Amino acid sequence: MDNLDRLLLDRLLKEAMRRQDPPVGFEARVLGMTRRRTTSWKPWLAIAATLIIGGGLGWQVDQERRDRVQGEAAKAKLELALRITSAKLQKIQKTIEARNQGI
Amino acid sequence: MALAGTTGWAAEAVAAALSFPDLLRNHQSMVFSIGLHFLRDRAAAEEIAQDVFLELHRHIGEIESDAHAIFWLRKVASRKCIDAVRRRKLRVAAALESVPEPAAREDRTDPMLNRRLQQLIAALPERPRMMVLLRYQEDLMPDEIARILEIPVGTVKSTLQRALGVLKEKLNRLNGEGRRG
Repeated sequence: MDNLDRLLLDRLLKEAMRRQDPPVGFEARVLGMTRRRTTSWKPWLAIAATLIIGGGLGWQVDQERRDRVQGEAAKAKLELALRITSAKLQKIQKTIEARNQGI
Repeated sequence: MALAGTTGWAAEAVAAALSFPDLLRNHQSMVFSIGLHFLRDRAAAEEIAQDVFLELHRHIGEIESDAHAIFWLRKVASRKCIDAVRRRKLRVAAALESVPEPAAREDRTDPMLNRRLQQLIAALPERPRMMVLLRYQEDLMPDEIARILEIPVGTVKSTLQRALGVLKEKLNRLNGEGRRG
């Protein structure tokens, strides 16, 4: 190899740097790790989804209950107002009738 | 996955071609060999290759084509190898000048010659070593090496030239001593 020329050096380097296969089972091991990694966050995702959906439903039920209570209170107030108004109107009517009979 | 402009069967074909198991199967030798030739340690090379593919799995949505995957894998593998050597001082050989020189053999495919040549390459500093590896293992041109290592192409050319000069000188010296012996 005196005066080793560039072409010979290129050939020697390509030969020395030839690709080699990884150890047997490498592919399966990496795939196994990616599966574990993919599945490991799934239960957490399910828990998070359950909490979000459950929280949303709970909030909705609570909101409906508050609306119902408010509605019933408003209805009771209205009925009371109507009763008071009705009583006053009856009183006024009686006063008018008594005055007319007096004339 | 970035498949802009690709629709229907073409998009399905691209997506199918980019499945992680296929990328792993098709490119495992490339990634493992980058680690092996750089570190000269099978266990460390396997560990690096494993890390590279796990990182690919995390970034699979960013990969646009098989060519992009190859570029990405070479880039990440190169970076991880250089980092590993710098961090863990995995350099197997000492300085290039102190590498013991073997008896020369004329047979080009001699496994002993290959091994000694690999030792000479392993004794190069990290950057020139990776350049020689990418040039001869991956058959890349200096501009491609420059993009992978993110350095100017002029630096790649001059560094490769120097590294090859050193390797040539070493091999010539081996040959001379072999003949004398």
